[in-house]
Amino acid sequence: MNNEKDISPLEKQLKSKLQDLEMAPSRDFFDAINEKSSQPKDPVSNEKTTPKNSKLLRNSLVIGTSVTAIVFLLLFTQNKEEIEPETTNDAPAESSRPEPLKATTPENQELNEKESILSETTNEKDETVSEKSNTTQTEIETSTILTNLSDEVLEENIETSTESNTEVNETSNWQEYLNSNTDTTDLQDLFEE
Amino acid sequence: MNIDIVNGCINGDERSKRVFYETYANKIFGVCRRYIWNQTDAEDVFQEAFISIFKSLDKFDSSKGHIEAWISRIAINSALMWLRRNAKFENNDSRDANEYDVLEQEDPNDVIQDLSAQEALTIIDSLPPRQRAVFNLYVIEGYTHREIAEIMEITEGTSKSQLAKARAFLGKQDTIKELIGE
Repeated sequence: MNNEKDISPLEKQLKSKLQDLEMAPSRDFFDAINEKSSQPKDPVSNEKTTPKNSKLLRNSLVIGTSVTAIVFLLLFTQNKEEIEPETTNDAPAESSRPEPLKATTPENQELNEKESILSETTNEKDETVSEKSNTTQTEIETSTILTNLSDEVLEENIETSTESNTEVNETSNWQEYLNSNTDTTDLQDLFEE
Repeated sequence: MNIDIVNGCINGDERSKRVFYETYANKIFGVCRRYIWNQTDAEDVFQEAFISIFKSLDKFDSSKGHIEAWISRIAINSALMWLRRNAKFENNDSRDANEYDVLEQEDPNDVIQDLSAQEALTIIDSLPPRQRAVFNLYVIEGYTHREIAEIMEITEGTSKSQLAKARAFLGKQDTIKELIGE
């Protein structure tokens, strides 16, 4: 209790009027109060977040995050092992490629030569990528993407060439074919590019 | 208060709880209203306080004091918690700092005679929430600054300065006259 002498006359008046102040609420709240006070205490919601609890919660979060990170790393490593043989071993990639076009006509021969140059270029790229793959993991991934892209371009080109070649074989007069089929011209343009 | 009524409340007897409510409702609402000027907010706090009282009535120890003091303390705590929860203790005092320089108090008895309870309430309602809380705790409840600091989770210095500001405001007779319509 503080010292009563410390209180001014006005404050004494205020105290005497307010200390035992009784005021009626605007309505009867008994039913609401009775209902809420009769509800059993929820053991979970009544638990206070003590410093110990918050520390446990924080530790659990750290452990959970660590476990997730480890699992992710394991999965990543596993995936990497599955990808690496495809990128480092060129043989399956080469074997999957279609054979060079048969030179039945001078134009076909020209196409085959261009395709073979393109293949050599791609093979050189593959070799370069293979060399790089021995350096760092980042370079391996980059090389893989480049190799796959090169293979895809090559395969697309070869497919187009094969289709074109079949059509050329079926056409006895090459000049006529060129006049009638503009796709071949486009194909040549493509190879020139 | 009849001990049977208290025991009846502890055992969940609705009739006992009704008697208890009707006995102390106005007292508890009076306490809430002293700390919170808004009627609706004060009624929210009143309900929270009464629910707390009913739920913890089994912890009341009659050897440590009268039940009225015990329920008043719960009502005060509920009001302070509400004020803290609703950020009413932030520094929202819009009055000019110079107003606090007027610490010389004229004799209030020359100006204010026989305040009514409503007038007394109007005067402390004019104080910002934090000053009103400190003023209530120090002047009305009779707590020391150290106790107020613990209750309100502030420093003793803050408690003293808040009381000084409240007193400076109450010392301005013109303002008080305006408040009570004289």
